[in-house]
Amino acid sequence: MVALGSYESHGEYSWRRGSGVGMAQGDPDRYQQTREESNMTALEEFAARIVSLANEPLPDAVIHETRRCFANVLGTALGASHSHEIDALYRAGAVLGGAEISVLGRGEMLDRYFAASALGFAAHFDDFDDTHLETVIHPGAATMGALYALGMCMDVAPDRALAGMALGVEAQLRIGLAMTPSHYDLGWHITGTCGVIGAAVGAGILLGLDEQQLAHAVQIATTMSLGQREAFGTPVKPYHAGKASANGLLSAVLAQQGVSDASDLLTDDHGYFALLADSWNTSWIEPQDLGRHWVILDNTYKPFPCGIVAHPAIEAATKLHLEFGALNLAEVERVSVACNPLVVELMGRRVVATGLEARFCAIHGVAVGLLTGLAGLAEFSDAISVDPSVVLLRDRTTLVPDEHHSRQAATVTIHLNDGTTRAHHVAQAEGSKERPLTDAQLREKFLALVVAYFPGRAELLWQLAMQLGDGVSFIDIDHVVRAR
Amino acid sequence: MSNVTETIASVCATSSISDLDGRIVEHAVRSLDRVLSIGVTKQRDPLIARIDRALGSHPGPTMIEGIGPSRRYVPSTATLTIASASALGNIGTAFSNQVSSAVVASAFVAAQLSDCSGEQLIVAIALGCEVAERIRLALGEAHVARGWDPVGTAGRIGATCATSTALGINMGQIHDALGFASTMAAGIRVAGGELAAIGAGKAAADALEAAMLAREGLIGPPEPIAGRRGLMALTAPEGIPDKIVEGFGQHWHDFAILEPLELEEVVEHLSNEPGCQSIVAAFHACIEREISG
Repeated sequence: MVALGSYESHGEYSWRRGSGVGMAQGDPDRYQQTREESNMTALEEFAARIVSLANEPLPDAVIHETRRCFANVLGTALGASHSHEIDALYRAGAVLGGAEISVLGRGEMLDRYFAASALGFAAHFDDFDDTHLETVIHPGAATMGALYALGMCMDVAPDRALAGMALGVEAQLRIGLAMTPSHYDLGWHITGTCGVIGAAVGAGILLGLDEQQLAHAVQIATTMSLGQREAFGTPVKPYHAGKASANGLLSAVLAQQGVSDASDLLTDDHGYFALLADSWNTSWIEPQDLGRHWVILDNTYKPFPCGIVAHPAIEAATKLHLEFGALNLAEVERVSVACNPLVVELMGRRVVATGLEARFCAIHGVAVGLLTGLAGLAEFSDAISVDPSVVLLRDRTTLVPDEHHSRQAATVTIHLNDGTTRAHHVAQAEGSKERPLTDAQLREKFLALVVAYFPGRAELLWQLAMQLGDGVSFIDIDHVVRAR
Repeated sequence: MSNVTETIASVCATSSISDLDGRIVEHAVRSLDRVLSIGVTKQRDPLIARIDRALGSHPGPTMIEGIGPSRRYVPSTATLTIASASALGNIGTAFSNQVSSAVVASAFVAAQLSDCSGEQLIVAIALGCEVAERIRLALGEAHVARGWDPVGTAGRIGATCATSTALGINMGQIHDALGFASTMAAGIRVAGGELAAIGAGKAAADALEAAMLAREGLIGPPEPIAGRRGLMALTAPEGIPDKIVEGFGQHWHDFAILEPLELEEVVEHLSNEPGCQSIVAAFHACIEREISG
């Protein structure tokens, strides 16, 4: 068994082995030497540092952001808990698996793996969850699914629940950062491919895996990654988050049972990084960086239920509605949307027949924003996606890719038949890192999602979610979810 | 480029035993024979016990017969353990043997969830092995050299075809099932035995799940295998997707399946397992076919 790294009293991380070879922070030569002395692989060091962090108090800012992340995906999961797609997932899971637990406030029983899958699927289903903008990972869904399902099967202390959620998200984002931008650009859906690691790490912390076992859990998880962007616009996309939950949980449990492999499947020449990216940077997973700064603090929460790259344009459209009132279609010649080229790549769909497809159609979001001033779940429904007025305005709307617009910026210009124009520019979209949703806005979003299916309990659920770790664990929340 | 996924789904939905010549039937029977007989011998391997414990013993509404001890399993556990046990005995052998663990296990369990005849089970296995081989060839040697495990990629697709055929879902549903299977098609080639065996087990269990999700109405993308961001593009950019369906349904590949047991011996063993009616029926169908020439 290897020795753990630990925080010294001054709060800086020190890597120690055996009887205490210290490493000054920021001393790469010493770090490299220590690593060679220890014979640890990069994966083992990564896992050991995570186990160490799980046993330390989390910084206040990390605790708060973890709760926001958890509350947000709990809300999106409960909001989608009675969709037809979740019904189908439940029917399949009920045939294939055992009857162990119930989740999402539904009566049917699933085993922990199908329950994790249902939770992760539901959390990402409406594309309304969270986004780490640099990687475009939606990190909360896969992590929450695995942890919540496991939390229904064993006694999880509140502080472990919080640590599992925080470190599952943190580990997942760091794996994603190591492969960004190559991985996503190639065509992988990073929420699934990295989500499985986050779920494995989070579940491993709940199970109390030691550093070797956690390394094995991550190692197994690397063989169970999934997610191709070809699936965007279909239920296979949210399935990526759900299946990543289930596979991560299975990886952690298999590691607990002693399954392992000798090689470092994360960083080997023919391992996970090498297969999933053309280039990668392992400095993101080096132990001296973990815990020194937290990338979970860069997570953001969506104000609109669709691909995040379209949010600046949608916000500009809603602002135009606010400024000029409802649009008279007879007066509109065309609408142009100057935006980052990534919007065209990810959200360039022009023909839409369902609400799910509308989530990948930036011009749909702009159209409903201009027509109604809103862009919530109702505006991305199947019915609105084929509404004649919306279809007409979509047909008159064009995306204009412009390198000078950042991912957070967009300009919507309405060209009227009389030759005049109305324009609104958004430099930093609401919900971005620079303009994050406040706790009050997150609460409003949570309540709107949850109240329909859980009347009378939405406010309590919000409060409990925002107290995760402070005497509150998953089972406490689920008691309220299941209350009649 | 043709729609590769659509063609695969079409052939799987319409094939019957009369489309297979005796050689292909023999290959399928050998695969079935080998997977189940090896599975029985590896049933008590410590890895299988670990998988069993990891998946838990909670009974579900649907319990089916596994192989070996007379314990009844939920379908996902049965699939994972049969394929993993068989794969333990196929490590280091040719791809056709390794992939048959996933194909046969998933089809065997799917057959117990449907009214699949013995003959249709043989068709399912033949199609599964054929599709896996075709995708492996289209992925090319660079795919494996890069580090992918073809049992996890090509095998998962083949197992999904086998499972879908055994379940009897329609062409559109098979297309959707392939959407789920393709996006799960991963797996790192590992030197050790345990993760390789679990990889085959997961390919089988995921294939069954993909087919069941499609049966329950979840839809997949139009071209998950040959699409711009699909399986071929992401795991073998130099591969040739059209090779997958070239002559599919008319030309069948030869497989070298190792060490088959005597059919009668396997039938006798399985006849003692009350839940294995479909597999027994499959063997009887094949024996009768051989007798009738």
